[in-house]
Amino acid sequence: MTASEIKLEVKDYSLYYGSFKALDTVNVQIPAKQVTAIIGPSGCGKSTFLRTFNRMNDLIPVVRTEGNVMMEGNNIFSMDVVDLRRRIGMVFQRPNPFPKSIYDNVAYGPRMNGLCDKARLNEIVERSLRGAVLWDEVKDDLGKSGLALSGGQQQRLCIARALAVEPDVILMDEPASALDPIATLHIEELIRTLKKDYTIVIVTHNMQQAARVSDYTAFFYTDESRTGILVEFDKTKKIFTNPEDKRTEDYITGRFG
Amino acid sequence: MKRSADIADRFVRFFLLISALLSIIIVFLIAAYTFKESELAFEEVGVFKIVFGQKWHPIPDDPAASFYGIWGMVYASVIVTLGAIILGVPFGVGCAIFLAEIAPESIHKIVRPAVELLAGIPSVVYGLVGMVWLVPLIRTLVPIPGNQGFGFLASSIVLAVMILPTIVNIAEDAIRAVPDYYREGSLALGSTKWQTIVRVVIPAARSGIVAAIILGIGRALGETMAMVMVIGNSTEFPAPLTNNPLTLFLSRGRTLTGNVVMGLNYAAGVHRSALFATGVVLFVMIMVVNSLARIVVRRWSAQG
Amino acid sequence: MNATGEIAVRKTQEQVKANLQKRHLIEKVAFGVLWLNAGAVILVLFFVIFYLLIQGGKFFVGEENLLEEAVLVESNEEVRDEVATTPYAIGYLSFGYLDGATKTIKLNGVEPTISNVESDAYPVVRTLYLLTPAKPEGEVKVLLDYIQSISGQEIVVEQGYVPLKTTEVFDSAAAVNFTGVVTVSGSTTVQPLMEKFAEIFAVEHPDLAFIIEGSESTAGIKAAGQAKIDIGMSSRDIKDHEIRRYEDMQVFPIAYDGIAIVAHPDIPLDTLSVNQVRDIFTGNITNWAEVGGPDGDIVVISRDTASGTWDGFEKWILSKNLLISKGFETGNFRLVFQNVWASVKFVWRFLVSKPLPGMGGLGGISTTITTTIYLVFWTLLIATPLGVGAAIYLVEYAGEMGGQSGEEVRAPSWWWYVVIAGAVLLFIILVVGGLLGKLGLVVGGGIIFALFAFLLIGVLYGEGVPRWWVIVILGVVVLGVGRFLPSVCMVSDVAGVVFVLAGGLHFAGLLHPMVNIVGPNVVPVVRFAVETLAGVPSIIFGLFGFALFVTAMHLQLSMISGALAGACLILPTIIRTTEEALLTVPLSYREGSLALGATKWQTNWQVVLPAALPGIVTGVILGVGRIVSETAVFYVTLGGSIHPPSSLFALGEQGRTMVLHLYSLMMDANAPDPAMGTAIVLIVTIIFINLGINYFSSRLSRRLSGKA
Repeated sequence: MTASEIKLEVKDYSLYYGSFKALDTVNVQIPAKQVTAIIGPSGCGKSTFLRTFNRMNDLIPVVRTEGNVMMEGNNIFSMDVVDLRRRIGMVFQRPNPFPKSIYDNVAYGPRMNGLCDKARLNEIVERSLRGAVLWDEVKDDLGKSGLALSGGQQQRLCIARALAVEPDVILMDEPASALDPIATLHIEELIRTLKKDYTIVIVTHNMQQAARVSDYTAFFYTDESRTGILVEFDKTKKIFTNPEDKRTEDYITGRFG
Repeated sequence: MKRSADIADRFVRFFLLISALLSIIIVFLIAAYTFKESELAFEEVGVFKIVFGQKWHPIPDDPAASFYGIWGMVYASVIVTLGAIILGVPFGVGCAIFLAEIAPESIHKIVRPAVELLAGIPSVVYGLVGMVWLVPLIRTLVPIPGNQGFGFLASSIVLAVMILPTIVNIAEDAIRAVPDYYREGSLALGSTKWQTIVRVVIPAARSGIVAAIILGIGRALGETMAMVMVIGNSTEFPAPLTNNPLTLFLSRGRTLTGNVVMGLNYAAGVHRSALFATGVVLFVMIMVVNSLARIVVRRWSAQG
Repeated sequence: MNATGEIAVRKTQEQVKANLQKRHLIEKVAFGVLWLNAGAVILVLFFVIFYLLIQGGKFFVGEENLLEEAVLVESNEEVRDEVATTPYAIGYLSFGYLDGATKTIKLNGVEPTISNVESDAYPVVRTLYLLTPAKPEGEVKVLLDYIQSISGQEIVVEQGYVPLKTTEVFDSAAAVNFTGVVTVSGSTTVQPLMEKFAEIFAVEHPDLAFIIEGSESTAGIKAAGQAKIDIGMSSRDIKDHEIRRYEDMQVFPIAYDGIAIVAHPDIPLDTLSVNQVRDIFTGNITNWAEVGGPDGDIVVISRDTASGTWDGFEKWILSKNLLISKGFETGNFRLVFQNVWASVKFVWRFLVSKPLPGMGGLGGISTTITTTIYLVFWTLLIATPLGVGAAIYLVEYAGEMGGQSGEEVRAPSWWWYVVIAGAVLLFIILVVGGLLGKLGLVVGGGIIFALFAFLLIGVLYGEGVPRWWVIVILGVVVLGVGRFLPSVCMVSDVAGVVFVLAGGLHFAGLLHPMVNIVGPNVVPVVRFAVETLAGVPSIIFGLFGFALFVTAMHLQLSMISGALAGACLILPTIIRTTEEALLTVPLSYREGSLALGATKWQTNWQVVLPAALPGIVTGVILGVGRIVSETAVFYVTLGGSIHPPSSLFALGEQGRTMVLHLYSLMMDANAPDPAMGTAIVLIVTIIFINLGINYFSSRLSRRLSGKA
């Protein structure tokens, strides 16, 4: 990949919870406007790694890091964290819409950034809800509480909410694991649409999902030490048909995990 | 064939039922006796003259020359409660936000038990500190003639300090009860921590915070002994000491609660009945406040 | 993207950046305000705690009271004479009056000498002062210069007092032949010194006359301040209010003096400890035999409160704090330990002695402690079974864990609605009309009571307990009770009539449908009642208790009235916490027990209650805290008598709880010091109660998460 095609770059990155090493010397380059999947057995630090990008791990006092993480060449730890989080959005495992109306949920981000013009907000809300393929279902009652929606709708609402602040990157932490199969399909379709405009990094424990949805895949692995390492990173097709590392192959073929 | 255990079961059930019904009976009895005892005063003097009368001057032997107007005391109770709310609520809620969201664990570990301790301290102890420290302080700080330190200012401050721990504890619990995933969601969208607190956490904790404030109001309105100790207990209708209307806070008064407790042990006849009437008025006031508050809370929770 | 698009994007980016700065700034400001806010609140709250601790501490390490039987005299000389001539006497006086007439008692083995004072071995020392109405001139100035010079201090030593450390040399050249009269009055401690100085001055200035009068320090300060005399004498520090009052008055230290303990010459003791002296003067030791002397009641000689010597004695011997700080200063840790121990004993005495009536709040708080304990005991005895029972019924029988009784819900006959509606209407008419007449109120109240009785009977019927004739008999019994207990006859008559009527209805087979209406509705009504009770201000409980228990039931101001009112007060708390505790017990416990063939009550008693115990105990302790803290309710039901109930079972007697005592100390006896002491005891009690609550509620939550 060329420099302009790399959105996020991780160099010699390790993360400690207190004295416990959760991630060991990760090196990877996340390509722009592609879907990168992060897979691996449970407990190998996938979510922790994902949360590195928008510095959500900063919220935990005992966390300590080494190495560099950069977005478009800028060290994210020197950037304003609030700005970083606007530019790198996140969708969580369990949908967490605010106890507010659908409109207020989506408009939350823009309002917070100082936007109060009603017309502009309406426009952004509609655009974001369309982008999350939720508009048609809720357009008649935007005042309804976000909590009154179904699980799949709530997750799409959260995605719309993230889109509303116009990020460059969207992080997704097992976004469909709390949803039923139909809703999951909707989310996967949505991801495929979104990658035209956004860089997407998605953590999933569902290998088939990773194979369906992503362009690149990163395989993380851990042993009894519970320290996570990045074993292999490559185009999804290669990982799933002809992986280089034996551990990758064992995981893909279901020998563990 | 009934086992003895079954028969015992039946009897026990009967007694347990009585226990449960007891609460209803007590409520009923309280209402009945309070109203019954106040009946004499309302009859002899009239509801209007009692509730809105501004002069309280009972003379045991001369009913015709006696006055039983408690409006001055309603006024005093309201002033003191308002003062306590104005002083106590902003500080209390702000402190609750601080403890729940901003305080480092080391500070929280010390402050929370201290606040809980203070919430349990008897009100007469607060009255004691008020009498020994606050009242002389007010007296020397504001050397206006007629200012003896006792009065509404001292009472408002003492009440505010008394309701602070209640407000802080309950509001803090309410804020902490807001699930973390709301905070995470907001932060992940690129808001500052303060914006998260103001726009997500506080609105979500709204009903708990309001409940805390209502409890504070209830405690303030119902406080008796500490008020008797620092408010001066004058039966004159409260008025500012000088031309400056702010000096109203330096004048003395008597709360509804104080009126009741000071006379109950020795009053007789219409006088005693008037004390019960005072209780009725107080009860109605508190019921109104509680109901209003409950309506507000319910409306807010429904919106959320 | 085209050029305008790029410009638009850059503009938005700038906007966003500016907005970001603004948001960060707002956050910083907001957090700053919150820190200040919290700081202010924490400051205030900690101030309250520390103020109480310090004031209470001051009370405990401060001065104890001189015993009432002490003989008060008006001068050092009189003390000396009294002690010298009264067998078994003990007193204190200034060093200047130590001659052979009395037996000098060493303090902690240290002899009261000048050198011991200077070396800090003898701790009791005060400063002697001369005071002038204004800046001194003429003969007075010269006299003062002389006294404060090396030569003057030599005289001080000669007379037996402790000298100032001075390097001033007296310039006698300035002395002119003064004439006139110099009036001096005040402390008899300073008097011998002044007389000596007057003598010396008279040699140089024969035309100058000194009139020296001995009274007491307070009088001397006052006279000098009011310019009634030329020189005042004081053996104590000048108080703040005296300095404020006499603005021009000048104060000159001229010497130090110790206070020595003296006894009748026949007393064979050489030394006493400070604690022993204190105990003698406070009346805790009354016989010489208790300190190793002969068998005889100690006669205590002291000075009145205007005396500077008394002031010194009170500060140094009757208090503990000055000795403790002196001990630290001089490294005399034996002194420190002695007096800390004396403070501890004082606290103990405070806790175990009875309060004395009258001004000043003398005595301790022992009876208030026992009264509080008795009250808590009886209130809990009444409230806990009833509260826990109510909660058990609500949760286990009628509520979530109980399930309904399995009867089908049948729509009642239409004429039931008529009966109920008619009764309610009648009640309203009668009550409204009854405000104008007592009969109406009674009948109206009776109707309401009847409704409740119907409810009760109806539900009972569903429980399968009484037959119709059982109810009728119950009614007759209740009516009979009313004949023997006139205080309850109004209530019991109504109840009795109602029961009889209900029995009749039952006989007619009309109660069954009631069960199906009433049954499911009992719980919400009870819950509403509990919530209402919880919100009622305590003074209303006081009014209620006074009206019902004290007056109507003729129980008068007594412990039983207090306990009943208190039980009503804490009932909601116990019901609520017990309910919560019961709800945390897993359903599987109950199912397991019932499946083994146990009855519902056996399950509750042996399985559910023990599991819910920590939560129940929490509620009980909360109730205890409430009773200990509650003042208004008990003021009007228990009374405020300083005489306690004679025993745990003396239910008819008045008493005074700790909080009531505090209130009385401030409002009646004007005694803030013991009030502070009582406040400390209360705070310690609350701390223990809080610890108990925390311990048991954490056990409950551990059960929730870990063990269960």
